[in-house]
Amino acid sequence: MVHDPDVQLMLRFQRGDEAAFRQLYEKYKIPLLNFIFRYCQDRRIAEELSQDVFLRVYTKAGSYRPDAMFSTWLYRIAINICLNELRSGKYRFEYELKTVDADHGDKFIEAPDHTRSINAEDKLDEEERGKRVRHALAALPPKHRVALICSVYEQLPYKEIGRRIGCSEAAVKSIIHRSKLALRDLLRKRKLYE
Amino acid sequence: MNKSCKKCRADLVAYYDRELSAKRMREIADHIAACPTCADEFSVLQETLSAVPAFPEIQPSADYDRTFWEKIRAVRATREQHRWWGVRAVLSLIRFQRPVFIAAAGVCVCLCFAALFAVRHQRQLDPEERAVAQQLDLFAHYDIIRQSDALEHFELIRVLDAFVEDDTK
Repeated sequence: MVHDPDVQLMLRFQRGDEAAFRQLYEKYKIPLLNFIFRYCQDRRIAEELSQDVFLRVYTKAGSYRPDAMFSTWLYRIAINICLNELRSGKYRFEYELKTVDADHGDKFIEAPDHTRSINAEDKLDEEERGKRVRHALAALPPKHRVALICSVYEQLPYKEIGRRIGCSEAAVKSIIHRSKLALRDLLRKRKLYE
Repeated sequence: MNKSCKKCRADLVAYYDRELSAKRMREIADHIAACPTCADEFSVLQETLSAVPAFPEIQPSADYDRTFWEKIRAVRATREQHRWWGVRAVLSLIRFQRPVFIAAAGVCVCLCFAALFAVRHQRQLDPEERAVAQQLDLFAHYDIIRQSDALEHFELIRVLDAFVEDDTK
């Protein structure tokens, strides 16, 4: 059995301890929401799908086996839900590229860049570039998108990404390599046409 | 595009991610410094990949938790309903289909009694009959066996003889 405190929490929940589930929910709520948001780029859908993931954990707790890290199992559920929802066409994923969320009033927090000071023009350029990258990211095939998100944002090693998306380490490496090149080509095309 | 440009471009992503050996890193750096096309290719890649992490991070909306725990409560309620579904189905059958239920129960009781009666009054075979039953194949060819000098079946023929005699009496 894997020595992971979250696995112990999940096993406690399996034995009926609801407080253990609440702890897992609180721990993974934000990372999971952001993971799905980066995938679908729509806050409303990301919230709904991340709740679906936790509901699946709640209802399928009986079939949980502690074979791997809890997070691996959780993110596998999340990836399956994202891919299935996209395939079923229940949701139409749209890009939410606003800097301010009008519904909730909270601002998107840009990832901090400590490497250089940015003046207003640079910031605008960067925002524009970020926007284009997000559009290009959304145009990648689903599995490639998931692999890239896991690698770039979650900083996961290839092995762990492989476990999450059900591929070998070598396949993940190749997928990420091709995704990055595809991203570059997509951006280059957009630049030419805009 | 010459051969060294091709090789360089194949390794550009790995070069950006610093996943290559020190020797290969130096080779590519030298190539990029000397080849403006590959340098341009690398700068586009660099621009793209450096922009990727600039993705907005969101916080759950104010009613996220409330909505989620409501969904959990709904799941619990459904589970509770499903737990008693079988019992409620039988009770409603009894209530609304009483004659059918009584008839079905009567048939079940009769079948049980019939089975019990059949088991109680089943005749037990005695040891000789059991021996014959176990050797039914040989018993079918009893006449042939009796006439032959099959000494290996001597004991069995004696048993069969005794059984046939009893039967004729």
